[in-house]
Amino acid sequence: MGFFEYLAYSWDHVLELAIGHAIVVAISLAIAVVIGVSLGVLVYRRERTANALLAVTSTFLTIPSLALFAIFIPIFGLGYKPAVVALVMYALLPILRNTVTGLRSVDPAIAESAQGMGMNARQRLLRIELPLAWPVIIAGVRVSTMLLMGIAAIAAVVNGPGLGDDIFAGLARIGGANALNLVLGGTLGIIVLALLFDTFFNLLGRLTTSRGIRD
Amino acid sequence: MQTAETMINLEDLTKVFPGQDEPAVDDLSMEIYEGEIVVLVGPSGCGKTTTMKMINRLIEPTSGRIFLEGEDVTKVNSDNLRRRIGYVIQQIGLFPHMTIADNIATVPKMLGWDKKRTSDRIDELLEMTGIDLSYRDRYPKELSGGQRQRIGVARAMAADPPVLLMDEPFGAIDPITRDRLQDEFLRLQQEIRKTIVFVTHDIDEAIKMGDRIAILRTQSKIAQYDTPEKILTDPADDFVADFIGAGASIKRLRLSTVDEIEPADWPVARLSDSREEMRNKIRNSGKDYALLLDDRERPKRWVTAEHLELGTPLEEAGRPAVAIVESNASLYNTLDTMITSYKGSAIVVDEGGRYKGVVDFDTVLEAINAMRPQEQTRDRIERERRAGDDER
Repeated sequence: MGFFEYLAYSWDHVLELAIGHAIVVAISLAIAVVIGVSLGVLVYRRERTANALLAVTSTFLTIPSLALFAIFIPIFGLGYKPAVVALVMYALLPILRNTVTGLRSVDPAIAESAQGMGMNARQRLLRIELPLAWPVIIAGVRVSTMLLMGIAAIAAVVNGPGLGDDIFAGLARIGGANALNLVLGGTLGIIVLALLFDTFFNLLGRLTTSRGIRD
Repeated sequence: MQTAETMINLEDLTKVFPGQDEPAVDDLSMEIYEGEIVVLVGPSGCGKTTTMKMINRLIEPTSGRIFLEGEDVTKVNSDNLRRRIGYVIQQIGLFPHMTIADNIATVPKMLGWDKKRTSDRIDELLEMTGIDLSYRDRYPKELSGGQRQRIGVARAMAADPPVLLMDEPFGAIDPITRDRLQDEFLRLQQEIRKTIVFVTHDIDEAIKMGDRIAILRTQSKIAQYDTPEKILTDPADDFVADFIGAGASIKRLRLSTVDEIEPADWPVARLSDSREEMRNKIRNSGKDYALLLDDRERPKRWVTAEHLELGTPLEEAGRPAVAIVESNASLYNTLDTMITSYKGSAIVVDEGGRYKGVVDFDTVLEAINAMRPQEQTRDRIERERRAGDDER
C-alpha cells in the first residue's frame, strides 16, 4: 500500500491520534506558561534566584526524554499524567527564560516614569511590564511548542496519547506491512500540527501585541 | 513672590545611600512657593536629582521631612503622593504600547475619573501643548522627539497636579527644538501657574527657565538660592561665580525683555499717508528714516526722504522692514537682531505683529547702563575688601 492510499484508508485513526497529540501538548503548554511566566515575574528582579531557576530548568532539558518518561511510570503511572508532567518540565526553560529577558528589557525610563506617576508594583507589572515583555514571552512559548511537538511523540512509551503511538508501532515492526507508512503518517502529522500551532501562536502574538510595539 | 503660599517645604533632608559613607544630600532645607519655577542646578553628582526625587519619594529620605501644601507627606502612601505630583524625566518614558490618549489618561484612570471627563481633559491638554487632536490614537513611536516631550508634559499635567517635577526635561532634544520647547513651556506656565521643580546642569537653561535658582554644590548644599537676576549680578561666592561662567552680564540681557525699555522716538507713517506728510515727519524728527506701516499697523518699509522722491510705489519704496522683535523678546535677542539689521535698530511689535516702537543701540545701552551700577558697586566693594586683606 502506498502512503497516500494508507492515509486515505486510516485517516480517522491518524486524526484521532493527532487530536490526542494536540491536546496533550496544549495542556502541557498551558501549565508551563502559567508556571513559567509566574516564576519569571517572581524572580526577574532577583539575579541570583533567576539564574538558579534557569540552571534547574536547563537541566530538565538535558534529561533524555525516553528516560524521563520511564522514571515517571512508578510515580505517575501510565497515560496522560506522566506525559504532561514531563512535557511541562521541557517547556519551562524557553518560557521562563524569555519572561525574565522580556521583563528585564523594559526600558528603565519607562518603569521609572510609571512609578513616578504613582503606579504601584502590581499596576506596573500588569499595565506596563508584562505588555511590553509580551512579544518576547510569546516567542518563548513558540519555541516550547516546537520542542513539545517532537518530545510528545516519545510519550507513547508511557502509553501517553498522540502520534507517537503510530511511530513506535511502525518502528516495532519495521520491514512489515505498513510499518513505514505508520512512521511517516505519525511524523508528518506532528509536522502539520507543529505548523498549525506555530501559526496559531504567531496570530495570537500579533493580536495581543500593541500596534505601538509591533515592528 | 514673597507673599505667595509655600507649596513645598523641605526640612533637613538627608539621604545616605546604602553602602556609602558620605551622604548624597546633606541636611537640605528649602522652601518653594506656589506658582514659581525653581531650578535646581549644579555640577553632575551634586545631588540635585536625588533631591528632586525625594520630593515624590522615588528616593526615600534617610531623615528630614517633606511638606506639600502644608501637609507632612514624609510618611504617607508614596503611590498616592505621586499621583498628586506631575513627573517628567529626560527620556520622557512614554509607554510605547499605549496610544497618546492612553498615555495621558494614566493618572486620571488611577484616580477613577469617568470616561467623559478623562477624554475632555485629553483634548484640552493636547490643545494646550499644541499637538493636533488627530494624534490621540497614535503611538509614541510615530512622534518626533519634540512631540514626545510635549506629550510627556501633557501626561504629567493630566490630573492637574499642583506640582510638577521635571528632571532635565529638554536634555535629550536638539538645541533648536529645545529653545522652542522652552519658550512654549514658559508660555504655558503663564497660563497654568504650576509649582515646578526643574533640574538641569545647564546654567543657561536655569537662567532662562527659573523664577528662582538654587545653585547646589556637592551633597546638595545650597550655594545660592535667588532670582536669576540676583545671581547673575551678585553671585554669593566664587563657586557660584565660576558656575555661572564668563559673560554673566551678557546672560543678564536675556532676562530683561524689550518692552521694559523706553523705545526711541521714531517717525512713523502709514502707507496710506501722503508723501508730503511723510517727508515732513522725517524732516521734523531729525532722523534719516521713517517707518511705514500697513493698514493693520504692521511694519512694512523703511524709507528716506530721497526714496520718497522716486516714483516707486510705497509698498516697494526704500528697504523692507525686517529686523522685527516681539515685545516679549529678551534684550539679548533684540541686541542680536539689531547687530545684524541694516540700520542698527529693531522694530518692536506686539503678538499680533502690530507696531509698538523702535529701539536702537542708544536706547539699549541706556538700559544696560541702568543695570550696571550695582555691579560696579559690588566690584568696588570687592576691591576694597581685597585691599583691606592685603594691608593686614
